[in-house]
Amino acid sequence: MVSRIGGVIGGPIVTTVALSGGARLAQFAAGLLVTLAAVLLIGEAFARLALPKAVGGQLEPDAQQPRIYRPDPQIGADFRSFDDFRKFNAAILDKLGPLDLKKPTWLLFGNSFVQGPGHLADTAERTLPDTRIVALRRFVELPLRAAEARQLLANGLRPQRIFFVMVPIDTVQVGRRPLSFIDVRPDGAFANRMRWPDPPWTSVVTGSRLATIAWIRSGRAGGDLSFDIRRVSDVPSLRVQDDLSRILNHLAETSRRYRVPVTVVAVPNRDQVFGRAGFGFQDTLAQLSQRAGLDFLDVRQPFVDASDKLSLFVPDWHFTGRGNALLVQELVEHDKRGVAKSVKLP
Amino acid sequence: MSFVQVSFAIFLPIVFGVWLVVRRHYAMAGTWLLTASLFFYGYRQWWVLSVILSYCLVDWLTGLWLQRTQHRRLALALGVGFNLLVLCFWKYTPLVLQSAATLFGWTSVQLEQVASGNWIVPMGISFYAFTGIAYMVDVYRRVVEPEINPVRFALFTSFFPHLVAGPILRPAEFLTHLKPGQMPTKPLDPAEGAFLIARGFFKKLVLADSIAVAIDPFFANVSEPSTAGVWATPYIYLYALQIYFDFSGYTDIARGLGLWFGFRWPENFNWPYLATSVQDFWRRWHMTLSRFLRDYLYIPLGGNRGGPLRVAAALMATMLLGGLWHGASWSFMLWGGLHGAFLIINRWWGTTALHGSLAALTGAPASAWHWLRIVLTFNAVCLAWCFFRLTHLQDSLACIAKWIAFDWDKAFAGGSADPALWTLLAAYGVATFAARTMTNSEPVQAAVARLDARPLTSGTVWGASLGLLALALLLAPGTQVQPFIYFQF
Repeated sequence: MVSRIGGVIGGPIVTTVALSGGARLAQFAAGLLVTLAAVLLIGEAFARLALPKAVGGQLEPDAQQPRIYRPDPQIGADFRSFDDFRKFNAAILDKLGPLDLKKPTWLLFGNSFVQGPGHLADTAERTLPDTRIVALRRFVELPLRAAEARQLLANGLRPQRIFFVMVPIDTVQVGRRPLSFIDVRPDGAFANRMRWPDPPWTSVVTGSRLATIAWIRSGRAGGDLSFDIRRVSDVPSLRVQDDLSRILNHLAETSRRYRVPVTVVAVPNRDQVFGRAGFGFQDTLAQLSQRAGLDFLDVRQPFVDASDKLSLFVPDWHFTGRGNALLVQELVEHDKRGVAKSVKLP
Repeated sequence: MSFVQVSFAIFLPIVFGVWLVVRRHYAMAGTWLLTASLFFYGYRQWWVLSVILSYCLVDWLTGLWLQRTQHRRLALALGVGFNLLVLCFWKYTPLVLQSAATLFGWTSVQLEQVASGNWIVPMGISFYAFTGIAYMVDVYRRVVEPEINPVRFALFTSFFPHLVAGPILRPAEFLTHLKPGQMPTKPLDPAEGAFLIARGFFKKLVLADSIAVAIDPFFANVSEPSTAGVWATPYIYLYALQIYFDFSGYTDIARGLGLWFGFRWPENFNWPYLATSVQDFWRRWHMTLSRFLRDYLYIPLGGNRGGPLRVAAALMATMLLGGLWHGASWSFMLWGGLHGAFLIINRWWGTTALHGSLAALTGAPASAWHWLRIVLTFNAVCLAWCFFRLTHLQDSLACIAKWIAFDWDKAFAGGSADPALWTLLAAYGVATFAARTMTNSEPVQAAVARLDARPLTSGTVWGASLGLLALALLLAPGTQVQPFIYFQF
């Protein structure tokens, strides 16, 4: 068995003759270096054939990814055309019917907390039968959610309200990759701009696939090296705040242009609900939303006050049915309170 | 804590470094290893320490009681009963509640909590429960003396390399080596240990996790229209490889760590997919569980004694319970039941005249028959894996249906059509097979001996280990490592 390789080859079958310390060391080093180089060469050959998915996705856009984007000076990327957007979301848009249908409508944006099966959009659809719930049921990057809102409104959708739901983990979207690091390729693919080491290391890192992988895996290739995912609940850095502001301003422009109120909803994460993290994210988002002229809803209190907090979450930190029902209830009450008064529509 | 967490990369050098310093002081070394093991187990989930420490206390006291009492059967029954009861509580409460809720139409927030996966089973509880049962039964059978020292006993149960997913060790394989004078004071074979650890990480991080990335979407949507027409066979074969690399990778790391601390533990896998029958498969797959089931369940249930019906009943009961041990799901029972049925068929086949004639073949026909048996066995095992991978019956059946009925145009779709993955697996297979052949070949061994190359060979093994470890870290597919499959059991 290979597992015995050391024991078998280096074990009792070997007759040992006296070697000087230097000779033993030289033999050992030779064996080590030659084998290490051989194994790494095999790895290099394989890495040239196929990059690990997480790394490959950073270097080159996935072949499966749709080529439907164009660069946008404000939020990094936008859809090239409504046709492209419509084709990309054909399954859900065909099911929805005409965008300009005269029916009370909520338009929901957010990450998996909103779009995932059984989460906010599905719960709202189930509990509010008289309201048409429009959610695209797919995960897209944070800036693209603002672009989606504009596409839908520019093409006839007139919801009574847009709920733009954000959870602290959403800051990762602009934290790890600033908007200025979004790189839309000429063929319409959404990609990242990479940060490379200073010369002479550039040629080393770009010359070997294994070195490139090591560079990316070290986290040095990212756009913002100071971003710390463990602190998403805290007040974001000024750089992240600036990117968030750009997205919220884009939303506010859409809101004003099409006279549709937008409510930014800040949802607490599990750590915050259990008192293990502060609410810097929510407090900052409230200020940024206000500055952009957007309505803001902070739902931390009902979650913090809930009787059996454990029953609000599944182990991966998403909400259970009860957690989602509580969130829908907060949106309904907020809508009923007629908070549109705080939204200054022209 | 898990071997694949960053925290383990900090934990291990500290534990090993301190052990190297204190290893010649018997009491200090034992206490240090126990403290480290409890830290490893309780890291970020300190409440689980109460579970493992309860097991340690009850099993240790039962061992002592067994030595002193005249009511040995009662003592054993109470000790084993405690282990099984606590195990069943943690593992089967959700299944029982959900089944009852379905039956009686109960709905409540508490039930939703259990149903939605908030019920957290202490990691590796089955493994240390089995270790405790093996100890008590061996004391009862007077195979080993009861352990007097509670620290030593707790270390036997909770030593971190084997704690969470085995190998399931017998007292004679580990506990006796913890006694004064027998406790290792130096690593056994650091180079071999390093190679096992590196190979384990490579198997887990690169091979098993790459397969997981490729096949998980298929299994998640196996009953959905999105997988209509897709051929399930390559996915099932890939899953068979995934679970092998995942589990044997863990075992390699555990055994390698054992060597670094001076212990040699038994193998858990021996090329299981080259088995020529399901019976042979169980001699090669999760070998320490197989022998546990044989010695502590199958033989007490009657074993090979009695008529064919009695033997078949014992086999079926053993495999059903073995299936149920894996988790609170009826599909695990079905998996165990299928293996039970295969073993019964296997025994019957062994009594037929045709089997005798085929066994007498020689030359090329014998070789062809040998390989046909391997293929048949592998497919039988894969059929059972459908119930192991998919815990909803309708999903398992949909998977089996897609094994037979598929659309040639879509047969290889999604992850199963990734040439890089197949290349990786083929390259690993060829390299492993070549290494096995070479290390077992006498001319190669003789050549190495003639070279008198102990430092060279040792350097080679360390070089291969470092290289494999580097590749494991660099070529892992995702940014997040998947937990070991067997941690859930």
